Amino acid sequence: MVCQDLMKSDVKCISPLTTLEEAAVRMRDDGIGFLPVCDDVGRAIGTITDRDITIRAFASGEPGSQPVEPFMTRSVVACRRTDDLAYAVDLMSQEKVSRILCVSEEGVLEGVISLSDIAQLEDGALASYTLRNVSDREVHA
Amino acid sequence: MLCRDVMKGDVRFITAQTTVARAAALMRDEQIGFLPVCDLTRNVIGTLTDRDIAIRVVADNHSANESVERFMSPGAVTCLSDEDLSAAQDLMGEMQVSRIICVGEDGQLEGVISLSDIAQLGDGADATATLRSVTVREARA
Repeated sequence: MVCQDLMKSDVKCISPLTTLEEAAVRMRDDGIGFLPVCDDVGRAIGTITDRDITIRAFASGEPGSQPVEPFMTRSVVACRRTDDLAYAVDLMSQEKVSRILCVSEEGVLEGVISLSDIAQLEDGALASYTLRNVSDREVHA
Repeated sequence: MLCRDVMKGDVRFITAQTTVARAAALMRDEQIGFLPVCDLTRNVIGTLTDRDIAIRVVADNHSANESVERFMSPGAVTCLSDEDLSAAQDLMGEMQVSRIICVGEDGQLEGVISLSDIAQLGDGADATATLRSVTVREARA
């Protein structure tokens, strides 16, 4: 199985200039906790989660009118849509993330695979392997 | 195996009058994403997550000085600390939560079990089964 068989491709990304409040509204309205941040040609340059908004911005008294850029995670964990799924799973375990971005050769965002997508697979061993290897912070108490 | 054997016992909690700013700082400093809200007798009256702060406080531009009372999820999914772990796992799946609060006979907070605690147990298949049945907000793209 390759990544494009599993990835969700209807992924919305935000701009680095999107405000924290706008990002939070998007997360609320779409029922998601994670947004890729893309530049103006669609290349993934970071990610931001609901937890990032709370911990990195709100907890320090930063107003919601600030852009997400200084608060996003800049290291993007990504693979190609044609990569084998096992490769993506290894990378997620290694990097201790619960989501991986699928990008084109040019770095343009094409889809996202999350731990819960992998958990839905028939191959339960793959899912439990991944789950055991992602950090506590991602599935935190 | 009993819930008591798996639960984290040194649980931080807040009261309904704690400010959202304080709750967010506590989540940051203790590296947690979830706080039980207790009354004066340590009975759990609600819960607050990092996501609740992002989508209920930041998204609506509320002040950080407001108390958590209006932003928490009232009530809580609980089990007895002396109950069998499998009963807790069933309840987590049924109620679609990634954490369960363990209480004593008197209803007082004693501990919390999260999905990641179950994932650390030997039986990975168990955790995967729970993960599959839970809507894991944290692990959703």
